[in-house]
Amino acid sequence: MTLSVAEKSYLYDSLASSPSIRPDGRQQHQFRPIEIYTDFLPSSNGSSRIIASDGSECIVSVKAKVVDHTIDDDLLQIEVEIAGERDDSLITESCTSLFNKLLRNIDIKKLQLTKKYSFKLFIDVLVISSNSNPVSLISFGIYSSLNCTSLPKLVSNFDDLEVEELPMFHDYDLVKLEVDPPLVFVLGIVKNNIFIDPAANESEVANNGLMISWINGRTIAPMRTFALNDTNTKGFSPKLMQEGIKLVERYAPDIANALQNI
Amino acid sequence: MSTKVVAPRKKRLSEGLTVTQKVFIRSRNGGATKIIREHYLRNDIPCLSKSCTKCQSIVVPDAKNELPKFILSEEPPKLSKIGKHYVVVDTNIVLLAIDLLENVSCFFDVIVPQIVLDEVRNRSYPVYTRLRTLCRDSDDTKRFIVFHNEFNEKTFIDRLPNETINDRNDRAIRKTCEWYAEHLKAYGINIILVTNDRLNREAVKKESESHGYFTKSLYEYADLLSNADEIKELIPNVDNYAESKELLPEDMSEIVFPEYYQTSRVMGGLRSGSLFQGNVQISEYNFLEGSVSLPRFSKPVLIVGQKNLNRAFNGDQVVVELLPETEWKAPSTLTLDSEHFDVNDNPDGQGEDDQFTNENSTTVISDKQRRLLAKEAINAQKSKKVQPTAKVVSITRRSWRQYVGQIAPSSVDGKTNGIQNVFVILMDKCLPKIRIRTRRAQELLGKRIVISVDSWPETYKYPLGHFVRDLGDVESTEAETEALLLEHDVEYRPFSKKVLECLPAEGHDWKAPAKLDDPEEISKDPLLPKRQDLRDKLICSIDPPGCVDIDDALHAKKLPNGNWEVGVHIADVTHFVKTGTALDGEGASRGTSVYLVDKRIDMLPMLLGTDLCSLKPYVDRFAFSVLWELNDNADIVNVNFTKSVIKSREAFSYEQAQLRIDDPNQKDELTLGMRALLALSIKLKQKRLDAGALNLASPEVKVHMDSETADPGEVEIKKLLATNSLVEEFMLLANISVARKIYDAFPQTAMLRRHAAPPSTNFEMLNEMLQKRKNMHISLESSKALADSLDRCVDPQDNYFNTLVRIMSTRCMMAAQYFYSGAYSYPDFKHYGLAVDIYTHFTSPIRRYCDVVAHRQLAGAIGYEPLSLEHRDKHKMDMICRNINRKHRNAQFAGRASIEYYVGQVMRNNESIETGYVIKVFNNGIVVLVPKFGVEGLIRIENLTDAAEDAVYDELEFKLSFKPKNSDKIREVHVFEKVDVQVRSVLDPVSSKRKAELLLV
Repeated sequence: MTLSVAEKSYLYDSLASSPSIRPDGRQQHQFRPIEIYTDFLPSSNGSSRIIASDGSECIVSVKAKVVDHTIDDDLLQIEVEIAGERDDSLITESCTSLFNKLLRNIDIKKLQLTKKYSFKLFIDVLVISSNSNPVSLISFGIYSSLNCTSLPKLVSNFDDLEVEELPMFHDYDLVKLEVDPPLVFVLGIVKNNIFIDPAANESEVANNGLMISWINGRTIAPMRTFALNDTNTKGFSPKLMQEGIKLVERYAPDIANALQNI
Repeated sequence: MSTKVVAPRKKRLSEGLTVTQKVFIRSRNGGATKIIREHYLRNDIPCLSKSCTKCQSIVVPDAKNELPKFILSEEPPKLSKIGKHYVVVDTNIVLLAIDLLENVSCFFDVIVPQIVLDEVRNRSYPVYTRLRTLCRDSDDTKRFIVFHNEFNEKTFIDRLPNETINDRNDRAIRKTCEWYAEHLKAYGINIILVTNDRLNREAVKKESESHGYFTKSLYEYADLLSNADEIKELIPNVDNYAESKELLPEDMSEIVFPEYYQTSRVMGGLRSGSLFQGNVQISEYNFLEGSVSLPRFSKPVLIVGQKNLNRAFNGDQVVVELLPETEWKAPSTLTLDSEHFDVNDNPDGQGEDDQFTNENSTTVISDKQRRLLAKEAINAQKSKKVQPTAKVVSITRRSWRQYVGQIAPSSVDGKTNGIQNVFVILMDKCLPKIRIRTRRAQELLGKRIVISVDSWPETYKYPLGHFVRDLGDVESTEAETEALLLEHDVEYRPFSKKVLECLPAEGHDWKAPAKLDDPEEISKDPLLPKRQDLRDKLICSIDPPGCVDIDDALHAKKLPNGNWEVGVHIADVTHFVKTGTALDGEGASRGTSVYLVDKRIDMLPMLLGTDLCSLKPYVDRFAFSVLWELNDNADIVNVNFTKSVIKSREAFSYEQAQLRIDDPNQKDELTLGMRALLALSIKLKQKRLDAGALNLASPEVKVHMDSETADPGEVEIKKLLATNSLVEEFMLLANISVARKIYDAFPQTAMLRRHAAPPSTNFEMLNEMLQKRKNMHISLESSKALADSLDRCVDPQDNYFNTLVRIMSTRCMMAAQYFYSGAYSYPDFKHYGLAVDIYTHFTSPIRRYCDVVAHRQLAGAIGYEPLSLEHRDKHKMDMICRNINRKHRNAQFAGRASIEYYVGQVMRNNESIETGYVIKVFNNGIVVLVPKFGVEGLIRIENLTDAAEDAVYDELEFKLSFKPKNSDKIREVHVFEKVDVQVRSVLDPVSSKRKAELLLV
């Protein structure tokens, strides 16, 4: 989105004023409306499709495979693909690495089948279109797809360390996967104000961006700052960061709750 | 953990067509795959009842533009309380009582829900094909239909959470019944669901009060029929059938076989190398001992004892686990058969058995330890006398079929006339006795009966089966012949109408065209000009006396250059048997003709075998000819293959041919040709023997039949004449030449025959015996070495000894097998016995299917006609090879069994003292072979001595010492010893099998 100098200046001033005025009238903690559909891919174990009001859209599919966790202990693997970006582009790679790091916070005990075997989850993310930073969108997608993931039900014995057994599964029944996936929030900083979910025009004028991860009631690493645009980027006071964390800690449970109830 | 099920989506595509999804999880190799199938539902599936007026209007034509045929009668059989009814069967009923469904005196107007058909296919393919045939051929008498309930939108149901697939399918069947009941109510036709599943029947009662249809167990249903008593007799014997009062808790015994492992354990164990899979082979001397050949082990691994065999039948595919080293054993030197084992076992209850009392300790052995144990076991097999043993932990595939046997008289209670449990002793002595329930025990005593095995629950010592049909009295020729055909899985029913329709319409009047360039004939057979006219050649055939299916003929002619033109002409069966016809299918499934003493079961219909294809003398016949140019040394100068038309000048028997050749007065050209053939054949044979071809022996005998009464008269050892070998040599030559040609043309799928070199372990025992007793040795480096060492095994005092060694060596050899050339690499094509690098069967297409395939491939190779895809597809060739190998083996066994039976009949009248040879020594008996009758028999220690416990068995010396009856001197019997035995034929009172009983004199 290209804004004229006048537009930028107007936007910046209104966002920087106290209280800040966002162009679409949102409050500091408010998200743009999103639409989420879950479990729409019949052959995956879990899936979701999420559409933001600006037309950004992302689909996530979760597939499971049985692996011997004594050999392969990397039980969660994420692939992110962003339409229009190369596989090795900065944004794709940073997203992939971010989420791979983030998902280490998931308790992989939940994926264990027997003493020897576990499910390995392959999470494929495809960002079909993005008009603002897609990280938050992706994280909601992953959250809701993991939330609706159901895995084959083990019917053989749990103890197979000494006397080996190949896992056998029920031919129809599935078991719901119960994990607490992390969420990532993107915040924009304009002067001394901080607000959640910057839209494209807000990003254009923001002095800085902040990414805060949250899991199960607390904020966690990784937490990083990043430039939302090439022109306006400046430093910001650490106070703002604390404010951002507080903001996330206050509103994230509601969001998680909302996503869980899909 | 909460269970969750993906809610199925339904989407209407158009009027009367809805799509839904079927989701299921497939576990394979430890993984779980979610599988989604689109499933289409429609509203135009008719009920197929003639009385229905609605369905006639909804039907749509199929792909062939034919409307479905309405089959179910509008006047179905009436039952006293129920009235007019159709029957719906469930899967278990089909699997258990397919015989009953096929019975012509019950089960009319039967609806088979599609889901049942699917389940049956997954559980048992043979039963599935029978059910399919029943539905397809159901004419006006049986009226079976398949109702596609899964595709009908009114009867399709989704699976519920926590519902097993079986429950879901049962519900689908009930839904079908409900729909039918509702649908046909207006026409006064009731629906009876026949199911043996008590839960299913209860579910019906629960589901709705006014479900509108009836449910009956098989037993209850049979009870309703007018011919109830007759039908009830045929009901299979399963543990949980019929809440009939006869089933007492005492039927369950204390004997408990170990439970089979779960699939997950079996798969895991197989993968980690701690469990092994193979086919069980029960020892023919001891039915409580079996062995499993496993790829990783050099020798078969033993399975000793009833408990370790764990209900495995001979031939079952099983998974075994090695037993700890402390339980390893030498193969038993005891002989046991089921007839004499536990004769007094009561089929109602079951005695205690100490074998079962010592429970295995329950310590868990880890897979790592098991792998070490397996390594240990492999080493032990190489060196020690003690052999690793194993136990069966799972049965992958049962080899159950229908068996022939007879009721053990001792198990019959003569006093009651009601239903009772009796034992059936099977003809195959490697199998245990079967427990059946019957009301007709008395009546069936002394008859050969066919039974089928139903189940073998853990708590039963013997498997449960049911009576199928009665073949006739024991020892009557018809019953015995049919029994042995059944036992060897030989198809002996007359050819079906469809098969016979493939024969030439002219029948016996068919004639080969007089002229090959006759345009009228060419229009009928466009390939005719490609045939060569060989009617001018002086061709004759030489066969056993009385032979009617002549498939080969020969000729020889001196060429101007001094070489010989030799032709082998083989009946052109493939001219009449084209691929893809019903006739071809029948031939392929029969695989071979079966020759019994008094009967021949043809592979192809008589018209072809004995007339149109048979190279009868004095008439024109189509042939496939192999023409060589041979020099005086019988080396091939040139070879040519062609389809031809020939006219045989004479059909000789071996003896006639021999006489004609030997008669110096005969100087005509035909005789000269025959003499040339004989001379060449002798050279061919010598060359073959020089190359290392084996001359093995088997105790073959021939039974002479009295021509009027068809009673067997006398037994004679088959004699061989020079003319036998004349024909044989040229047939071998033809087979080899053809094999090279078709392998050249079709390197991946050529139909060939190989004979593997015997592994040295097979000869271990024989060599040890030879070494110990005779200081001789059979070398195994090559077939040449083997042949030479066999020649050296001569006992100057005994002419027969050499033959005896040859007979025993034959039993150590591998069986030759058919294969397609892509299955092995060229060096493995070798035929060990004939010492040639490549071989096939080409010369008897009337009686062997391999030859038919070879003919087609040769026709393709010479460009006569293109080879059908059937014989160019590896997978299909593999199926053909497997089948003909099995059929071939069965045919051989059936032939031998037939001779054995007749020899028994001959001996019945003449008891005599004959010379025999000890060929095996056991702890409790010796096996003696009597060459004159070609019979061998076990002489049990009880029949050798009065003091059986004093007998001493020396394992190293192959010696049994005992005090003969009425004597004080100890007698020693060694292996290979020549003994005089009294031969007589006795009818075993337990098995009512006649066999040669031998007694040492």
